[in-house]
Amino acid sequence: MKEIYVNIHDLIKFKVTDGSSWLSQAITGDLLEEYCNYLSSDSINESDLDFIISITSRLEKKQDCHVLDDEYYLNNGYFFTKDSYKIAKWKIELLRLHNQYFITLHPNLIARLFITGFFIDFLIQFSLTRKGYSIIHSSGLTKNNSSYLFSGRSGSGKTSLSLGLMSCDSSYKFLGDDFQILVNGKSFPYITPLNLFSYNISDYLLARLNRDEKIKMRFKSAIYKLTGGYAKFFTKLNPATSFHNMIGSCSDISKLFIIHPTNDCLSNGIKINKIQKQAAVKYITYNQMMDSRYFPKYLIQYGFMFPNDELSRYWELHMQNLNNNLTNNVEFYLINLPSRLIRSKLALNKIKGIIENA
Amino acid sequence: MHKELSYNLHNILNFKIVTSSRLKILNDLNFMFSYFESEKNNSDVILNIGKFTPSDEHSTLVDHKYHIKDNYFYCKDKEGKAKWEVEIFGFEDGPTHINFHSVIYGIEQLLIPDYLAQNIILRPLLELKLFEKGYVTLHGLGIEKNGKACVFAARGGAHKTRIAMDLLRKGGYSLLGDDRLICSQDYLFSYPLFYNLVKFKAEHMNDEHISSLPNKIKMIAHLNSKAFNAKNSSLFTNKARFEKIFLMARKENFVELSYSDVDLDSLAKAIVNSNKMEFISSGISQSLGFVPFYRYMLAYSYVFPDSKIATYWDNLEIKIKEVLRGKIACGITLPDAYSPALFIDLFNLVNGA
Repeated sequence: MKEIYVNIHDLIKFKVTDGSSWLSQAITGDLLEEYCNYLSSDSINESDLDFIISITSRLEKKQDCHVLDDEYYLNNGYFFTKDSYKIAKWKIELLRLHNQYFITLHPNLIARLFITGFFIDFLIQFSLTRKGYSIIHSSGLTKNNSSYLFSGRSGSGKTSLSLGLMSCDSSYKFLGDDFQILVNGKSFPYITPLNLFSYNISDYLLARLNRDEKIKMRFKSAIYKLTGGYAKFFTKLNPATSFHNMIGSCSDISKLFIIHPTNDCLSNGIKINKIQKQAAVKYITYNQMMDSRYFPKYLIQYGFMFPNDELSRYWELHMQNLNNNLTNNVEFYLINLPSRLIRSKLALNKIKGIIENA
Repeated sequence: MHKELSYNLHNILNFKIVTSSRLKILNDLNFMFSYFESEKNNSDVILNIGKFTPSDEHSTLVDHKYHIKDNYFYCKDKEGKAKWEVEIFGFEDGPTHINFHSVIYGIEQLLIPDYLAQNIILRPLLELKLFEKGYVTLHGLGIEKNGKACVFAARGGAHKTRIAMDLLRKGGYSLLGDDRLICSQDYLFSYPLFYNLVKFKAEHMNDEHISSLPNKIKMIAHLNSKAFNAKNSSLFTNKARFEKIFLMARKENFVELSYSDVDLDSLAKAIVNSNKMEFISSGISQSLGFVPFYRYMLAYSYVFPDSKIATYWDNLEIKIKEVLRGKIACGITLPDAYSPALFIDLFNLVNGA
């Protein structure tokens, strides 16, 4: 039985236990690499944990549940269901006991690969939200205790933008590629391994890969093309070890950019408009709502039986928190960026201009 | 040859399906809105099924996949064994024009080639259009007697069909809808989908195990007989006064019917969640049971967060509260097994005893 404790800036703490066979552990590799920068070397007192995830090879639902659509089993603070995505299949159970969440997963071999993306990431977001914090889908940089966040869907160029700015000015430090945690006007770094793929690799990173890593990446791209996009494997690179002196620390949120790529081919039009906080909160929330597909669906189904439960009110809380944690001194911008300019110098310089124009 | 089918939803909404599919065998499964077929009309919504070239220039791209501009949506998508391409002009403001092209790698491509367009795009879109006109779609069973109607709002698997059939056969009620209803402030309107399927269940089936193979064959045979015509039936009542609503769910190892109070606020929220689920998954076929429309709305909302699409769910909740204010409402929990005794309890309940 493998057991890990994760502690993210003392804001949330959780435990993951993996009771699957050694064979499936060996085949699917280290599932929890995603949290490698926040592993706690000591075990944490059970009662201090926000949630506990158990991966098992045996999961039976509890008795006496309400049954919806013949596949969702619910009770107050409890749900169980079976679900699938392509050939990934899983059973999931969620149980709330004394203000703590216990999640049990029974995935098949393929579903093991999605455990972080489909479930744990959402649970981290959910637990932060319960405690009044916010977590947003963005990459982030910090300079002189001011942080700049780039929020966008995947492929909108937010990673390239951060790395691009870092490569032209080394006083920018990295706050993370995927998520930032916001607490009352401050953003905390949240460093997860970068998902590298042939289409999003920048020169900055390429220079930091060794020969083996480069070969692996080409191999994975080839599989992606051969399977017509069905099998998508990323190469992971941990910024905390690959460019450790470039990691920033908690700082005041100064500017937040929402990036919307466009397919405009005619003009060179990069449009950057200042927007109200209210609008920014909505963009960020819809971004988050699109991020995860399965857990939010379970919450909707749960909300049919228990509409006033905190599980059902998650998105409402999420918006409330954003309103509080993005304090009134933060400036918000919406960038309409033609997709062919996503990794361009032109875009980089325009945004750099706004950042440096205090 | 193009085939053009016009529909009229209770004079509230007109729509039209244009398709080039020629197959006749499973028309009743292929075209789910057959109950509302009508003469040619001025359509609020037109669904065009077949290959098309999108006009998606100057769009905002979400996830490299959804092409979005003001009142416009386009994407190429796939799920399970289906692949499709959809373009919607007038996504949030009518008139609405949908282009849809799909390929299903399975027998469905031959039997029900136009089903996907209706189930994953047209059906949810009609709900938005109905809402724009002041009507709310409810997911549940609606029954009528003496012009008064009562709704059992429920998710799937809550004995809806059996209750419907028993109230129909033994209770002297008629059906408003076996699965969906349209409601206004005072009235409920019928909204049967797959009308002939429901009719077949009502007229020819004693048990509700429609999914067994002999029954499926029997059903298909019936659906293809000419005598089985949608127009000459009194199975459904079209309109009745909205009096009562029950929020219903089944519970395991539960012995008898139980009641609970439900406040207006919770009731409205529960119904909104049920409607959301219908935009995520729903359908007669397991393998084609997905509905991506909820995601499409999210993608559009991410680009236009103040649009009608983005505010739809919040406004729906407000409207539902408005509609249900003053109606008799109650939550009911049903036991696992359906029994004659349960039917008597339910019958007494709807009769106000």
